Amino acid sequence: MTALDREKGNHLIGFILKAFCFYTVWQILYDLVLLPDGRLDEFLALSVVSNAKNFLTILGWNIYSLDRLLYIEGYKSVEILNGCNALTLMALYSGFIVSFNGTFVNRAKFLLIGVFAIYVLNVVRIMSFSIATVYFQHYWNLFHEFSPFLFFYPIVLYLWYQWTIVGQNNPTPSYSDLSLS
Amino acid sequence: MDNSWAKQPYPFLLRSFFILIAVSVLTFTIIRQVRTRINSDYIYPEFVQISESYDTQIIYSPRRINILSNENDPPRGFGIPFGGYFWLPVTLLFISRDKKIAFGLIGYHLFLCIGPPYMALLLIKGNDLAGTFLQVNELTFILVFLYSLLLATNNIYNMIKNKRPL
Repeated sequence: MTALDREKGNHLIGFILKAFCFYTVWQILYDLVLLPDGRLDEFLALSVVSNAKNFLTILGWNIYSLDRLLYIEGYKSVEILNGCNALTLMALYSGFIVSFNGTFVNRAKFLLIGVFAIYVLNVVRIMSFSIATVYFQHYWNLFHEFSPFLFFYPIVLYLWYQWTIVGQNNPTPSYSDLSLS
Repeated sequence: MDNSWAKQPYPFLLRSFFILIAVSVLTFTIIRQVRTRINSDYIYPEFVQISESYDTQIIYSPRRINILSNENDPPRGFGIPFGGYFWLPVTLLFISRDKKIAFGLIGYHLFLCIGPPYMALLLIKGNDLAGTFLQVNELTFILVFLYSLLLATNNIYNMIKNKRPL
């Protein structure tokens, strides 16, 4: 193993450890504060339902909502549980951005753009879940299982990739050579 | 100098494509069923038996164990390792010749065979902090998956772009 390989390995382990610490802090904050309070989960779920309903109405669908339920007349409803409001994915995305080196301003930009993009994609995903109840109800569970691969992961990977490039162009003193560019 | 690449009869991209197709077919036809079987025949019944002594509920899912320790809390649990989240990145890492990270990923999934089930046992026995760490593990799991994909696809892209020996 060369010195460069060892250094790369150390950087990789350091990066994973940083992300692990971020996720630990996030999860403790979520379990002790955000989950018992419930407002953030509620806001994300209800606003996604409202936006998905509005966009589908514009597209000509007869769609109704009741609390966290969204349903097209005559078909099964879609319920937005806490696990479906994309908050976990926003934390996952943020963990990478925070753990990878870069300047504060760029980091803030990437966090805002990424979290907003994930929110919008979740609205589109929930819209597609409702439409799926009409066209392929039998495959709904499979579609739900693989939906992150269609809606979230490509954009998250693209933004992470961009962040490694931006991080390299504006290196901090602890710049890591893990950059992918 | 390794010239073995020159003897390969098929182009690199075509070989990679066929390897990915073969691994995908294997994952969906055999590995998926084996993981489901291991869960339904061994892991799930064991956890149900243990949970009977405590005030917790085990929710069955084909390739997951979910624990509902409190009706007001979301279920926490773990997936059966060595699924699609392992085979796709590890295949791409081997294609991109990044064996060190591939072995790291194998090591991580071996850890997943022990760490999360142990945490799940602690959660059943009433340790709420174990539930928090199960969730942290879920996040780390997806991070490792996506980051491995990113590294592997980037390496493959660079191999093609720089026309390095494939």
